[in-house]
Amino acid sequence: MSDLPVGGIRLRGVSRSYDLRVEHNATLKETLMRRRRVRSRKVHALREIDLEVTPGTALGVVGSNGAGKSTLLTVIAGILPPDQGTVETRGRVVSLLELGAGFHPDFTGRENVILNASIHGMRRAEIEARMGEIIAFSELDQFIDAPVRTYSSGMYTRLGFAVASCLDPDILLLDEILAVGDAAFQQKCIARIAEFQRANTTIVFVSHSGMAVKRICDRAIWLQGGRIDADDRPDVIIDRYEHGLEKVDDLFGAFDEGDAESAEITAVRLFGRDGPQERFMSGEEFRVEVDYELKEPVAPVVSMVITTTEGGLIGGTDNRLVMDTDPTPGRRTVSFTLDRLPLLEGRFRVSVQLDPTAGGRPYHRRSRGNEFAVFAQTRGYGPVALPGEWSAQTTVHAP
Amino acid sequence: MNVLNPATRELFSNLVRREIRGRYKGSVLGVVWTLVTPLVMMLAYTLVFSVLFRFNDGRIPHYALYVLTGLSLWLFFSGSLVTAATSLLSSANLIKKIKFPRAIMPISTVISQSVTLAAMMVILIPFSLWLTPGDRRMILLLPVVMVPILLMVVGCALAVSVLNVYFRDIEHILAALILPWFFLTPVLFSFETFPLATEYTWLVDVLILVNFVTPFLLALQDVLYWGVMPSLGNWLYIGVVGPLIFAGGYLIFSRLQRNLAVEL
Repeated sequence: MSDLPVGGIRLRGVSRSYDLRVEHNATLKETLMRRRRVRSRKVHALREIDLEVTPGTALGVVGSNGAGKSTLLTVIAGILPPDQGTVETRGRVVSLLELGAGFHPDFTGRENVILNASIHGMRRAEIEARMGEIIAFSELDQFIDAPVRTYSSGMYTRLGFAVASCLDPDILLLDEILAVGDAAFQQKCIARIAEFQRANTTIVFVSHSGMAVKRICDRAIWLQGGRIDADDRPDVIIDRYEHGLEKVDDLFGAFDEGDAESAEITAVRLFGRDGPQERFMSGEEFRVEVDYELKEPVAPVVSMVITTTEGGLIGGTDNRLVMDTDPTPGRRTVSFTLDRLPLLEGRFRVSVQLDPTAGGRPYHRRSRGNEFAVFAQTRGYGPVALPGEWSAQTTVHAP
Repeated sequence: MNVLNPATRELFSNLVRREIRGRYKGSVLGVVWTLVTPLVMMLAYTLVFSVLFRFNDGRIPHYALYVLTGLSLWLFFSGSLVTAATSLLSSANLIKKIKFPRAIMPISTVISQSVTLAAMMVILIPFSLWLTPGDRRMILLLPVVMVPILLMVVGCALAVSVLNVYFRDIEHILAALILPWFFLTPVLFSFETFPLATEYTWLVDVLILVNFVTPFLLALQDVLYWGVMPSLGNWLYIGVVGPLIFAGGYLIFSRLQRNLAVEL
């Protein structure tokens, strides 16, 4: 018997992968003959997710496309079983992965409400009792007895949310529902979601909209490459997410932060000529010191990237040619020095990563913190100070 | 899935309503059409085989009633299979977005086909009470015969629906198979009047044993048309094979339905 309270969600070591086939559905012949093996690629949508959500929490899920957000919802909803690990939920789970999923175009709004609600496990009497509320919420009173194929997409959306919102869920899973509909309706949805929160309904909310996550949620996770990359207050997560660190990730060619089991970055410090500092003048000396600890006998390559805080790449380098190849576990410090900081005015960030020499998953990456500001007296455009000089060769043309 | 759960029962009734209303939406006669098809088929087959070809030499009295009896089961069986084959595919949107017991989809297609069957029974029963050459009381066994028939059809529907998701050939194989299968099932003839039945008894055995629909049909014809008690062997066959097909279909379905959301 589970000790999970009603409205609780618990995922332990949940992994799920897809076969991304070039041709989706094999015919019987192909399967029997095995003649033309369809090339397939395994996509790891979720990797060893551990997640526990207490009842009444509104959990925001953010991450780039393909990070596993929607898969996470379908797995929690029980629509898709995990390959590994266990998923536990208690209470009525309502998934709103698509507004109006399963509406029959030829049926009237009212008929579709009844059908949709009964698929979600609601009794007919309950549905009838709340029909007025549903119609009022959807603002479709004139159209409720018209076939839904005559509806606009906004009407469709309103009806879908109206049905879902009358289902009294213990756990409500929402996928990008606020991406559609007009502003007034979105306000209404947010108000309705707030009512759910007061009723102690657990909400898992996937969205690209940082504003919505900040407004609705009291906890947020950042999914990246199928893992939970960060788990914190929504404002902390959103600030980080919207600063677009993903661009740095693309540069490193990996979506993982690494587990820091073999090697861990313990500190990253920024120095000017006279000591540690966070504000630099353009053209001044700039030094990055990285402390790391080898926990296993490995010899990592240290790389360092400078980006703007918005995630725009300035440049990066690694110490592959001069690296410390001694694998004895222990603490190390490396530093990288720029004699003249070639940046113009702005805010920048240093990301540091430890990689195996042979490539593959990084041991560890650290991109949080390590921000610095640059002030410039020279003129220029963009983030980089071009280290050159203007000169003039004056030629006087005869008139 | 608990079928006795009232919420599940209501879902079934809503889905069946959706299917039947969806089928006849916008037509003037509506559900009456479910009866028109079998009646037109009965008239055509009676005309062709009984009048034009004189295939029936009088050993099947009231040939039209005999054909209609056979058609009631055959149309239920083939209609269930054909609609079940696409039942999951056409609900892909629901299956990928909402969690519910997926077996509901093929089973509700069988239920909506059984509405047609019931309508045909309403016509058949009074006529067979009036015209049967045998014992009228045998009609009391009709519900008993229906149980294994339902199990067999539901089992087939479950298997066909989920297999067709993995191999889309299934629905085409079915479409090609239905007509020859129909002619090899004794809907239009009876093995007693089979011209070659006395010479090639093995052929009759093969047709009965390999075509698993036949024993179910024979039992139905016995109680509904001939008014006789089905043979012990026949009872045994439908009593064992019916539940077996159901169990097999259910097993295949529950095995393959896990990954439906990605396969659809």
